[in-house]
Amino acid sequence: MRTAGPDLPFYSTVPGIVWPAFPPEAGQAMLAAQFQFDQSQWWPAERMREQQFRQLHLLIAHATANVPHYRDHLMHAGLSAPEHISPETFLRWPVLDKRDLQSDAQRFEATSMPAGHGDWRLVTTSGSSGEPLRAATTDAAIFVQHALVLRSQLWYGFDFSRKHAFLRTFGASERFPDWGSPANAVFRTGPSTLTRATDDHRTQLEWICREKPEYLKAHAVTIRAILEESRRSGRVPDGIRAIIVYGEMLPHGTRELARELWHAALFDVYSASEVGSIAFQCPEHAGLHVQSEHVYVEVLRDDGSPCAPGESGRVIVTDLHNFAMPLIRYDLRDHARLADPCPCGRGLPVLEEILGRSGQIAVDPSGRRFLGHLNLGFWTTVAPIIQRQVVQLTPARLEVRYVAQRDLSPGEQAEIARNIRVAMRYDYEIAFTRVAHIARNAGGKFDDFVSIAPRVGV
Amino acid sequence: MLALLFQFERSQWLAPQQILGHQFEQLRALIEHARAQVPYYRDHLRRAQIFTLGGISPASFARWPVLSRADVLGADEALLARNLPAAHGAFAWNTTTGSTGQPVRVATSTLGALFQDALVLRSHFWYGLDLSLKFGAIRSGDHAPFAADWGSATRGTFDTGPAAFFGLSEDLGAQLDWLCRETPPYLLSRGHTLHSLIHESRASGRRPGGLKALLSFADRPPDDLRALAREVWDVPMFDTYSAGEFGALALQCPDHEHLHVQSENALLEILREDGSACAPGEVGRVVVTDLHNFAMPLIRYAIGDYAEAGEPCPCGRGLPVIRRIAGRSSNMAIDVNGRRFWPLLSPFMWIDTPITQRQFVQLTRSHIEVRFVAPRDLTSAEEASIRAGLLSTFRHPFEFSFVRVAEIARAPGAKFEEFISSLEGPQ
Repeated sequence: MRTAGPDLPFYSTVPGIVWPAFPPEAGQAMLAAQFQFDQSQWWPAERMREQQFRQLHLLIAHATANVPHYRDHLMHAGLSAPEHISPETFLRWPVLDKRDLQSDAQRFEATSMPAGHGDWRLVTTSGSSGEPLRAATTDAAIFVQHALVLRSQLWYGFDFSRKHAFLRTFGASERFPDWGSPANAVFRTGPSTLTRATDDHRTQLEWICREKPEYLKAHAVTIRAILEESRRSGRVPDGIRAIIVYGEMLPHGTRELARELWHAALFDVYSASEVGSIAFQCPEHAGLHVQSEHVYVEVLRDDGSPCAPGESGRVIVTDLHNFAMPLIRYDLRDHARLADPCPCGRGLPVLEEILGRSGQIAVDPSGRRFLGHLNLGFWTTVAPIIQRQVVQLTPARLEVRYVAQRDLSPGEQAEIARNIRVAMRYDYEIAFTRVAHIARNAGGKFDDFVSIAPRVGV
Repeated sequence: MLALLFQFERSQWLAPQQILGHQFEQLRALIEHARAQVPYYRDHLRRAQIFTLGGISPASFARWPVLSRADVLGADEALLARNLPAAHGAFAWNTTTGSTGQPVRVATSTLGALFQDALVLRSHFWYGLDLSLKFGAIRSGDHAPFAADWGSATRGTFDTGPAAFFGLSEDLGAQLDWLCRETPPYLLSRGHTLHSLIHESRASGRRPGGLKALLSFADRPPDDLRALAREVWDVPMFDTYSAGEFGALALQCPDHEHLHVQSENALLEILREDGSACAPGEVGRVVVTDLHNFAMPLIRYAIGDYAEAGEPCPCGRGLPVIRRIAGRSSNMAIDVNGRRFWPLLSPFMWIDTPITQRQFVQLTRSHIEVRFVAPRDLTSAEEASIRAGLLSTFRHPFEFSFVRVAEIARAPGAKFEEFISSLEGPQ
């Protein structure tokens, strides 16, 4: 016998209709997507793959016809038509390296778009591996992203009438009467509150204690640091029910710490800025379910063959809905371990552990500890940097290591240094070093920020 | 459409009290509209002094006057809203005959019709229908023999398979020919039509291919239909209790044989003679409020059916349970002592007889005529055996007379009734 989920506060805009609700058009579309997700998550893996390949055939037909980079890819893969692509033959499609994307982003942009995908959007992202990226997307693809965010909130049984707090990378502290998009298109939500992820963790903990949200969303490392601050100081926020963490590998023990200290459930979301959500923690188990309605994920051995459950390998992802800048077999430079099917019964593939993500905690001489997150997208507007990494050498000294065709001019260096100091809110001494390449971390991933400074104030 | 379906998927699991709470939120909005826009409610209810807006609750709603079919016929246009709220669309008309054969014209709005369609779609999902397959329906009304899709409930949302239609009033043999020719995996019709078809199929040895499920709608299906469908065609049957005025009122539970009230669209009460709510196991009259028809609000409308209330379903759905549709008031028997009841006619009584269809007509308080269709007359031994069974069923020494007929006639569009009373009252 199934038990009831929460009684959701649907939002209705049609006069005289309160239940069942008629949300505004955007909300109706959002719920239509949720209905489909609710069905498809239980499909057997085979059926899901079949549907993914139906979608993939359309994407590939579009990409080979309209995206310069992919023009000859079918031929490279030894295929004569998109419909010939299967999970097996798709292995012959060349893997897309971020460097290819970065060196000539325009070659990945569609010269023509099918109708109905909405407006074309250009975004600059830091990328998931430290290399800044210019990315194009569409309203349709953004809609799918939002629908998945809502799915995560529904999966985790959020009570939308409560207060939600977000720690975001940039921007000032703010309060809003609702949770914002996508939840506010569908539900009468409670209020939300935002603050900076780059603040001192002590300040962030104070903020959480003061704001008393019931739901919290932030980078995994930020949450870990705040929890540690809470354990150290004995300050425990009241009434946090659940935390969604994203962005980096979840430090071991964080889930347990949240439960013990705050009595809060913690849910892990694996995402990358280029493609959005990739996998969500199962609502009932620890594994992460690939969001197969949006991405086709392959986990590959070094020889390019698919991993069996229990093996780890490179994560190669195909975004099924971004027709503006198709990312087909894109190497995220993450490593993950593939797991057996989940006992929950969902047919969505399971990643047991994301090995490659990592974030690092920055410090300053006062002992303030915070997420070393930088506004990397901005850098590309200042200088022709291909790849970069910020290394903290001591609490007061940073080194910017960068890959570029030439040395940065003193003016460019000064501009970037100023930007770092603003983002990290300390007047660091900053050195610039041009390097031939930047090494991957143990998980095979490039870190934006690495600290080799002695730890202080812990 | 899918936005509604998503909500239905959730709301079905809510606790009965939560569902009732939401229904009353919606009911208050409907009553507010009815009072402002519908002359019947404005005038009639002002006299009845029952407007307690905002305060309407299950207790105060129990005092709301029941609307009879005669009221609806008599009210004429006074039940129509002068204006529809924005986004409810236009007036849509439907004529229904119900059991009496007396047609009633009922209006709804585009939005009200959308809710009805959404419940049809819910039934497809509940019963796990594969929408890509062919759909067949034997039904009344004018219709083309084929359609490219399953109709308004799925159109615009799903790419369905095609549909094929055949007339309800066509000859039984022709219906079976059609079924064997079209071989739709899903067949929708009235329960008694399905019942006759299966009998015809068994008798003639012609079996339709590829059938996956039978869907019965409108009236109460014969008690042995489910077993017969399994036995002869090896298919499940799913029943929908519906009415022309409202669309689907209750759908068979996907996991059990009883019906779940479709509370998201209808507030359905089962009432004792004194107007109080029936407890599980009791039979009472069905009184329905359509929560989303703002064009012609039907508030506490006595549809003319009687139903047995059920216990909460073990499936966990909070939607109320109807154990069975007992019948209509015109299907009630009465004996010389004034005892009124719905005869529970056992299907097993007809086994080993040549009878393919039958109907009981109560002519007087002591006399019931058994009209039957069969290839030959009954033997006296068969008559005696059936009479013994009937005496035990009716628990009264009625006089039963047997009349063999060529067919059991009914008005076009009217439902088949296994038992009808030609006496005045008791309704």
